[in-house]
Amino acid sequence: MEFLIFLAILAAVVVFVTRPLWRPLAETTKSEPAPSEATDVADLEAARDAKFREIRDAELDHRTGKLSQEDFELIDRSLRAEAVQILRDLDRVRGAPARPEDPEAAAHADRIPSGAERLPSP
Amino acid sequence: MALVGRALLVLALLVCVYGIVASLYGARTGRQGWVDSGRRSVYALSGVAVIAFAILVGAFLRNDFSYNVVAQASSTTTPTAYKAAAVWSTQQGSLLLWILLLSFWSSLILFLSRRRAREIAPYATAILLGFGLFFTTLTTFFANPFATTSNPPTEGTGLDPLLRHTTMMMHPPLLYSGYTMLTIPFAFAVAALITKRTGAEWIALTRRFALAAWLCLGVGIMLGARWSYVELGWGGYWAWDPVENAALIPWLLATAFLHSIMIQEKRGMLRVWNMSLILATGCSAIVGTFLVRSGILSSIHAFVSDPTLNISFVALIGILVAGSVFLVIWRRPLLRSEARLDSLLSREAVFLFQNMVLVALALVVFWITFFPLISEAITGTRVSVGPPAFEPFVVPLALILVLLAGVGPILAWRRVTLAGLRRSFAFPGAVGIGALAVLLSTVGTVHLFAVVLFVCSSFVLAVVVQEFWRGVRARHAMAGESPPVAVVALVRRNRRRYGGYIVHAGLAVLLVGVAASTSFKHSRYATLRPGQSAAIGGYTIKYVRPTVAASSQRISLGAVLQVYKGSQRVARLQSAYEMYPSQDPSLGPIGRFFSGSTDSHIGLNSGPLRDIWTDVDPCAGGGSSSCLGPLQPQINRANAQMEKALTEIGKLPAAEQRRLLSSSSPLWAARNARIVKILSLYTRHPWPVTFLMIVSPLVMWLWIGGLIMVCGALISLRPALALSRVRARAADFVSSGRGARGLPVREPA
Repeated sequence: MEFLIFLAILAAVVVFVTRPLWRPLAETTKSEPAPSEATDVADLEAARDAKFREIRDAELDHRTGKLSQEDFELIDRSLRAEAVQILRDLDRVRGAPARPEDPEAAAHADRIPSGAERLPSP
Repeated sequence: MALVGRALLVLALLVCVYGIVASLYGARTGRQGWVDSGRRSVYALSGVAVIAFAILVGAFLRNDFSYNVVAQASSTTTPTAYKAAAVWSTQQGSLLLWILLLSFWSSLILFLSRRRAREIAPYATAILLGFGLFFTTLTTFFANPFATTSNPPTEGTGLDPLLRHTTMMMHPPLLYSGYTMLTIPFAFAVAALITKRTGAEWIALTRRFALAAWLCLGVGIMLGARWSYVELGWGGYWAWDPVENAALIPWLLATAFLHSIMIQEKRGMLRVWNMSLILATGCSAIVGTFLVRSGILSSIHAFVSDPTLNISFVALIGILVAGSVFLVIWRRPLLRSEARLDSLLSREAVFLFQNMVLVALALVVFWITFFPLISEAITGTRVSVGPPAFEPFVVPLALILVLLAGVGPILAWRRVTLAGLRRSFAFPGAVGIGALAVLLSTVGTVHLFAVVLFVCSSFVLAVVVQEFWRGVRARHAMAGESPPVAVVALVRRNRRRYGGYIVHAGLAVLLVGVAASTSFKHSRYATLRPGQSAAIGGYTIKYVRPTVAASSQRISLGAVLQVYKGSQRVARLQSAYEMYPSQDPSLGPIGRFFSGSTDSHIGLNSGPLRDIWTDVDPCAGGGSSSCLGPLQPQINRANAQMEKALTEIGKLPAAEQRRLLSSSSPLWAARNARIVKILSLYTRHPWPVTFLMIVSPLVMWLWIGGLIMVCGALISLRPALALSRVRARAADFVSSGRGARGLPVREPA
């Protein structure tokens, strides 16, 4: 009985672990992007999320009186420029059309009229 | 089922080997099928570990003493809940628990990252399975929990009485969860270095695991402290025990990492530092595990020393440390900072300083903990160290740390103007100065450490209150929300920041409890007869009467005490000295009930302002060289009579013997009655017993502070939903081709 139990577990483990090897090679390579490209995108997405958080943090610092108006404007402008750069890099990696190159436009990206839902703010 | 258990361990070992090979092969050749197969090996390891662990728990629950570990750590009289917990009270069982938790948490991270980190994940999988391979090798060949005997005893030794406590059921799994979860950021960091993918992704993937590990270690440490306070009979909660320190070191390093990682996320700075820190944290988790397993340093928590295990662990730690150092040096060009500190008046500058203090603290604890071994290696003599060796270094560093816990939240990222700084410091600074004035006028400078810590803690609490107040005011101005709604919205939308503030507040509260309970503690021993009293810390404690109790698990000698403040009775306490039966037949059929393991049931009256804590020791006041001197003649007489009866029964035919020795035999009822009769001597002719009495102020705030820290950490752990929404929206904006509209939009002023 004990032998049979172990045999059943062994069979289940072998089937479960080796199952991905049964798929044809083309199936895995066709549907998913190359690892390097995917990792670039993931890295940039993580950097973008961190930058968005930083923008919101700066805004919260400003609203709670930790940053003066001048400091906030300086920091916010630089953060948004950095974020635009990350978004451009993301577009480049994904093969999408490039974002506007004009730094002035990037610096004032927040003023683009938006009917869309806003991101979490303070 | 022991055979199945043993076979499962071998299977787990093979799964680890296969998974490592498959992951590395998949990563090198780019064949996703092999990578997926390697990842599935971790899931399979998890499944196999669950079944093996269930088999072992089953053996404990049904008192299967053919398993060596069950006979060692359980008995028929051990309560069911403790039978399950007894699994990890043994070396073998706890190693299996390590594998179970490692495979579970590894499965979780690999499942969550199955479509991300495509280059890093296979190497991380191989490293995690490497840890699995190490521990499965130990359990399979050197500490097999499924080892059995062909001649099982009828009764087990029983679980160590000191471990029969609710907190002890949760303390080891939590610490092991902390240790095993720390291997996850470690594995991903190593994989990131190998693959040159040292960007933001591995941090985004594993940050939450680092925080969860920090939380588990923190809760484990707090539960251990609580257990020490209510179970060990010395009235303290922290003794700088090597095994306690082994959990504290990775906790301190993880605290540093969780702060410094924010600097890397936001500014791209401190990459070498963060990488080194998480690798050191991972290594320290294994060192912590080694300290518990090895018994190389004397500790109440450690298992018995095993040379084979020790050599294996030292080899693993050597490989981890050397490999980590090599990788960081090798990949140093990839770890250059993207930015420099804009100003020393910024949050990142404070975080950096705080990091240095935390690492210094961890190094101090590590050095002093291992000093006995170091001194033995150099001089041949093992020097013992205790709390006084730690205090001169730990106290000043801890004070700086608390102060920084208040300064950090006040400052903004990147830079702060002096005017802004003055504004931010005004209220907390005033609170701190006010607290200092009050304390100096009431307490004076006698307890300087406590005074400084109270001032720092009040400063931190004022900072946190100010931060919440400012945030609420901002939301009120922006959205017209009422204060309660604004608080909830503020925390929900900024979980990481406000969760962190709550943790800081909890730390301040906890340290108030520590400072008060160590500096203003009253403690004394008093040997009393019933009716006599002793005064301590403004209270009078009266020994009212002795008590006895007997059950199938233990017998106990106790005392009822009344506590008075002046003439007013404030509490009734009951302490007991509990004795668990020994399985050693040489102690005699009656004597073994009085000569086994012992523990204390302490009397505790806990309140927000003070704890009154008592422990009774009936041995010390017995007036005899024997512990239970006054009872010893009676025990000897009963032993002789019982042995005589058993000898007579031994001369009878086998069938008659079986009948007379069956569990329902009147012989055992007579034995139990005799034990109760002997015990009753303690109440009929009570002798003077010794009490340890402690009155400590504000101890409760230590536990409350710990709970606040847990709440803060849980809040910080939850930004997953908010962040996923952010990500989804950002992806939506980007994919909709609306260019830079993916940026956060400023709220109207």
